Amino acid sequence: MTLKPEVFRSELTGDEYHLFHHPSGLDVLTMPMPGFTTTEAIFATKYGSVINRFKTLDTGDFITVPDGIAHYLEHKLFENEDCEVFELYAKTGAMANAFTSFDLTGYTFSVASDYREPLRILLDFVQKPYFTDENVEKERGIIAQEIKMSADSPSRAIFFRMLECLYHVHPVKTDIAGTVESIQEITTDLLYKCYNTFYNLNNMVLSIAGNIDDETVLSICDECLRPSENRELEFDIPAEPADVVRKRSSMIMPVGVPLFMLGFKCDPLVGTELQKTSIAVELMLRIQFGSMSPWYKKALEEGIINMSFGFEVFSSDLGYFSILFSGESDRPDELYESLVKEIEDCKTKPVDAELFAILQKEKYGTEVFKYNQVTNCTETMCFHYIQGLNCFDSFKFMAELTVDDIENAKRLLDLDRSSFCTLSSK
Amino acid sequence: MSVEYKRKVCGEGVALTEIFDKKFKSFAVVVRLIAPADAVKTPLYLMAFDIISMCSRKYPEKEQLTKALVKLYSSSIVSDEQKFSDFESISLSLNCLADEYTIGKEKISDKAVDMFLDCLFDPLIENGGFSQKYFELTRKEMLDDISSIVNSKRRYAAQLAKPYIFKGEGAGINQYDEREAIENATAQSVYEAYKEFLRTAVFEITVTGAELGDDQKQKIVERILSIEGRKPVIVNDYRSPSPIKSELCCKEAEIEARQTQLIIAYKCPEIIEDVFKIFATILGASPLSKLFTNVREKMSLCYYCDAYPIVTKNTILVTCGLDENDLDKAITAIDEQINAVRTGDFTDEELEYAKKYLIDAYLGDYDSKIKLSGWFFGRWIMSSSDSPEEKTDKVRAVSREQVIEAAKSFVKDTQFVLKAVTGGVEDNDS
Repeated sequence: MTLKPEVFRSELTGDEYHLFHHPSGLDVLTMPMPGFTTTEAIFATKYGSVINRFKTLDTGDFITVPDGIAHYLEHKLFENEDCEVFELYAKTGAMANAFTSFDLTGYTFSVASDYREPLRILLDFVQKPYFTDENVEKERGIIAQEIKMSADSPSRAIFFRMLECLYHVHPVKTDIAGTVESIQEITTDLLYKCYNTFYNLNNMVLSIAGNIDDETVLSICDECLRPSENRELEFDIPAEPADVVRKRSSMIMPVGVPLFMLGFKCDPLVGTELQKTSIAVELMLRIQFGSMSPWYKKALEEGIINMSFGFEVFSSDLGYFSILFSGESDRPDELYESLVKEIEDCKTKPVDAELFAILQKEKYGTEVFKYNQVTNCTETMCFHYIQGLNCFDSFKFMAELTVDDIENAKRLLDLDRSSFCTLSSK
Repeated sequence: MSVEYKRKVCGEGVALTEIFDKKFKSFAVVVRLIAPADAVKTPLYLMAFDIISMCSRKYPEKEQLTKALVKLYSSSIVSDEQKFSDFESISLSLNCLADEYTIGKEKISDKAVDMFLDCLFDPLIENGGFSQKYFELTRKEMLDDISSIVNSKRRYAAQLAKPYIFKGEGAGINQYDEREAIENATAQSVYEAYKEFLRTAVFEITVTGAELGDDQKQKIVERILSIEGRKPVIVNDYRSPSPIKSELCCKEAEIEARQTQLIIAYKCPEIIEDVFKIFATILGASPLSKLFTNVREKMSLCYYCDAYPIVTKNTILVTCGLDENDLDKAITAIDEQINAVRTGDFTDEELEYAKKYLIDAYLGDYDSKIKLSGWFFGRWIMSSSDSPEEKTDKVRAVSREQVIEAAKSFVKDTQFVLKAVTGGVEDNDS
């Protein structure tokens, strides 16, 4: 093994992972986990549903592709010229899957026996597209059913309605799978264009953890990876105005208990700034609205929320950052008033120092739990890499957080840049 | 594998299973209480366990308990339920970092186990019942959960189909059947049910992951053995094959949605577990199964078409989400795939792949405390103590002929369709 890795080590928990810059252009993340039986891998491209306008040396000028094409491509890669990819995996016992998110498409396997052949299959099939008019057409019905299944989900419906209310032009407001109509425009030629653009090893990463050793992983990479030339990929995500589209929206569809979402649009961030701010906001949300906060206790006891209440930072370095509250409520208007009051009040009150300290301590336990599970390790390495970050930094940033950071995070809850959506039955 | 497994019967209806693996940095204690499924009693037991997971006499407020646990490096105490056969397992579990991995090797396991036992045996009592506040919260939570079943069309269809598939059986009780008992419950009646549950349930305790001290394990067992008036309902065999109906039962319901849901139950009189699971895998439990490759991939009728084996009930459920116009085509195609297995129309490779798929899934359980705990509980239900590794030999031994015979013995018993009718999302914005 001649490649020297960059080594990332958590001084706190002793966990360690490695980053190799493979000569093919691919970055390879490894975390050997002694004593574990399984191996899990993600072979991912930094290509998700929000990238639908791009150019490379091959395309010349910018081209625009239909909504849902990244997801369609994910489905289609599972067909090889000579056989189905699942058949190859079946010979090894490995379980394979794939996912498309807003900013990432990943191909995964999990295996409890020898991982070498599944890894070869993974690296090989993702680099070997085989699209024909016939097999592209065949997939349309399957994906249309997937879209209809998602459309029947009230929580998904309100989530995308919230994004439509927050974002004027950013493609994040469109469902990852597109629509039954938009996928009709997807052709073999367009799929190849997207594949050749984004499935370039310089734009991809392999993350693998579990019962592995670096030498074997790298030797399989040497054997299977076909070097990619950098084709100078550029993509265009439209500039998003600061204000929201609509402050209020309500939908009607069959639902057990009415759903609500309150969203705050924030300025987009990238890199370390994105990670630090996300951690500060998450901590602030837990202090003000988490299950240990006085507001949560009161809201739960008054019955304006139930235990489905939650919040999240929804962000990526592709131009969106928002803070979302969600859950079920029989009295959404009362809940809205209560949240708004608490948001206004919390900006004038000091941070609960005891809770702040407890939550920092909790983070240590969470980190130890996290890196003691193969799936978490594979995903955490991959997702941090995509954002240009080191997994273990989050703990460091958490430990460095000050009360001022929490106060700054509160300011992101700007009611002038918020939207409130409800979904209820007729 | 480096797993050490030990099981000890500690008293009538009380057993302790220890599964130790030094690779884990935390341990999980799961105390499962098992009782026959019952539309009136089960929801009260569930309410009781939800309440005791939120507070105790020492920590009368939910946030006090949460804070105390978070201080123990993000430990957690949660309640859970699992329906199996005609029975219900309701559990309280503790997940805690091993002392060796805390900062400065701080000893937290003792405190965590004490808090866990306090929740389980020393609840907050007011006026001869559970805390009114937490009773009300739990009741609302359970009723909301029942109302929200409809949010997932697949889950809703499964709940509606259950009473038809398992008519008159414990497994046929759905969450809608439990609603009345929840609505009529009081803080007092739930507390009485809790006490009865402690007296009559079978206790299966598992301690999984990093090592937990003998003193702490002993403390858990002794506390259970000291419950007054214990009269556990002992069951010798938890398997309960579902009777096959004399003719196919076809039922329908409607919902405003875009996708129709189809559920078909096939049953057989007798099974050999490993053969049954191989049959289900070949039919529809893997991406190389007959249902996936034919109904989804070749015919493009649906996004999912799966077969799910319910071993204790000798039943396979096939579920599919599709356009109503394609319903007849899909039903015919599903029947054809079952017939294909019955007539031996599957290759040796398909058989081999199914075995590998199952074996790999079994061995994967070694890497999760919760899955290991679930594995040995599942084995206990089947009156076995096979480790995942031992089970793989049994899977390898299954022959092609056995799979064909198993497929032949399955009869189509119930067909349920949840039809999508016009509706979906409406905009209510002015």
